[in-house]
Amino acid sequence: MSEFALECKNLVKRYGSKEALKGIDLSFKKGNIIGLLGPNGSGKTTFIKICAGLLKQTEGSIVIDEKNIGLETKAIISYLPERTYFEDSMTVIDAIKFFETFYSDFQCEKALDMLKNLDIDVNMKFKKMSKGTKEKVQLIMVMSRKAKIYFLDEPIAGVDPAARDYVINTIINNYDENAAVVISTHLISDIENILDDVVFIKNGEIVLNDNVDRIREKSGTSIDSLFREVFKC
Amino acid sequence: MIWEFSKDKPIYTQIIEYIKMNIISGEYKPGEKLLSVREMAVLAKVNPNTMQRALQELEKDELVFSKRTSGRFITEDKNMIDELKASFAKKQIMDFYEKMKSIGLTKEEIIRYVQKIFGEMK
Amino acid sequence: MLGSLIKYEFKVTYKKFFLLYALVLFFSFINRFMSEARYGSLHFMGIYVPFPGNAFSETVHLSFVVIYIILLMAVGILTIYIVVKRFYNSMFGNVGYLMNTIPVEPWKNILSKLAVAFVWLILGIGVAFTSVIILINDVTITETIKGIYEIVVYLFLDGRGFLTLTFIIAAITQQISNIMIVYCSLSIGQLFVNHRKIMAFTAFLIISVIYIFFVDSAYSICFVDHNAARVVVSGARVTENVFIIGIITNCIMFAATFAGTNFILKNRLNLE
Repeated sequence: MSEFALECKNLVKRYGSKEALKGIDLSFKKGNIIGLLGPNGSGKTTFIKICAGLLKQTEGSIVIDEKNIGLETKAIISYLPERTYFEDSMTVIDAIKFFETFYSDFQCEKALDMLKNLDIDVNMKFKKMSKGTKEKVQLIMVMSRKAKIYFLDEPIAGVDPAARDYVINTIINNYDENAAVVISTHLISDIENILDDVVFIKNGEIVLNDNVDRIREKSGTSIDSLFREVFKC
Repeated sequence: MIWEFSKDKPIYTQIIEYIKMNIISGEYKPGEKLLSVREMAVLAKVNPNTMQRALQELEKDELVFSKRTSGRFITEDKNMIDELKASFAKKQIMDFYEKMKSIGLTKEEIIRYVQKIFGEMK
Repeated sequence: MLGSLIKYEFKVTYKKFFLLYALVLFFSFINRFMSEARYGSLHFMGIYVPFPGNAFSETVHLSFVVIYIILLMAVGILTIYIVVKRFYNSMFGNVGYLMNTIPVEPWKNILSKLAVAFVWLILGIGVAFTSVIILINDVTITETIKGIYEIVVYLFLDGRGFLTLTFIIAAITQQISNIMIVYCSLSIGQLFVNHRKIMAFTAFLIISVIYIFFVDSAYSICFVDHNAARVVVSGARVTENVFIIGIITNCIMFAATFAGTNFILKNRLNLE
């Protein structure tokens, strides 16, 4: 049984002449919360899509919980994309039934509890929801699965500060020492307190991969300040 | 109880400081049971691994001890708590002295100022 | 899993179709009543109903006829539109982020949408057929049913059964392969970064042209006597063989486009 939820070696993704990922080596330990930080177009989303099975890598190997990307990994990955991926015409209850049908690790009670705490009407259709509510519902759905690795793509962008707190609390509350949580974002200062490790990615390459406390001790700055320094134009 | 952390220092050291303060001030009573790591992490809005690390450090310093399955408890050693209080007070006084010294006050003047202001405080 | 996908697909699409079908049938009844009224009587499948005939009712009648024709066309158009939109949106749009990350094989996704699209296609034809009967039928309900029964019996009698059967299977495989061609074109379209829909349409045209040539060659190989001085179509049992060739070409087309779509979904997915 590996201690790693994810291991990738020399991951390359090419689109014609353009290289979106230039040979990435990463490993994420189970029980860690990792921040994948970088500006738009740095390769974060490409990396996550490959993990989720939405893109095929050009070169390199990647295993999730020691399994190759495929049907088996889709069952143990919980992915929260930036967009709403439920049908407009679906209600929250429809979404819950859907997840229950297709994901054996979905915990229905947990989801209903969280929805109740937020006073969300489970019979409401997605098309009638505000943006913030949609995002909260999706987050609840994703975090209610007992997956081996969670990929949260920009979970707090476009969300009001109170909702951001809710997102962060949900992530901490769902902490599972057998799972890794990967948070991809460019809003670092809001989440850096909950990260174990950070990975800085720029132009498809890893420029930094270290433990947060070690970075703070070494540089005496916040991750946010370091990020601004590393990525200044 | 809102835990405020500055982001340019490791969080776990700040958690240790925060808990030490609470022990000294009596906010955490000797022998009191602490919440679980997860509960404390949620309260402080930090990573559970970070909270665990802080608590483990405090355990090493014997300010906190764990009883196998019942969780973690504040030390009952009153001497240790008093020592902690004393060393905190000492540091504050030394810092205070450095600041007063930097505006040119002697030790006698400082004591006179302190007595005067305490007199006015009542 | 496949069953759940099919169930889910029906759930998302049924409301629009049922509404349309209900409207079509409703208007065919109304139009029937109105046409009967023009001739002073209202004799519909054995029921007699009185109806006023004046200038106002004439205008109303005319508009209802127009509405009915529009609805009939709408059934055809809406079915095609929904078939295309459903596949594209749920596999390559935002919902694609869900459908392609759930742990099901791509072929199940394809098959579930295909099956449901086919059902709506057949139902649409059924509804159109029924509405025409409502409009023009002159006999009682029992007589109508008896008539339909007699037609079915006739189609399968005197050794015509095989011919009828091959025709039906040819028609079914034709529809299924048509839907699959559309899905394949949409999948090819999403391979591109820009102008996805235009590329999908282009792919559709190209595949259709290939298909026509393919079918044409198949027929000409089987039925045209190239040795004769002029082109001769051979064989006494030509009509059955026509359908059989049709079935075979449809199946090959289906297999090719299904494999293509499956390959693209598995290996060349390119969501925005």
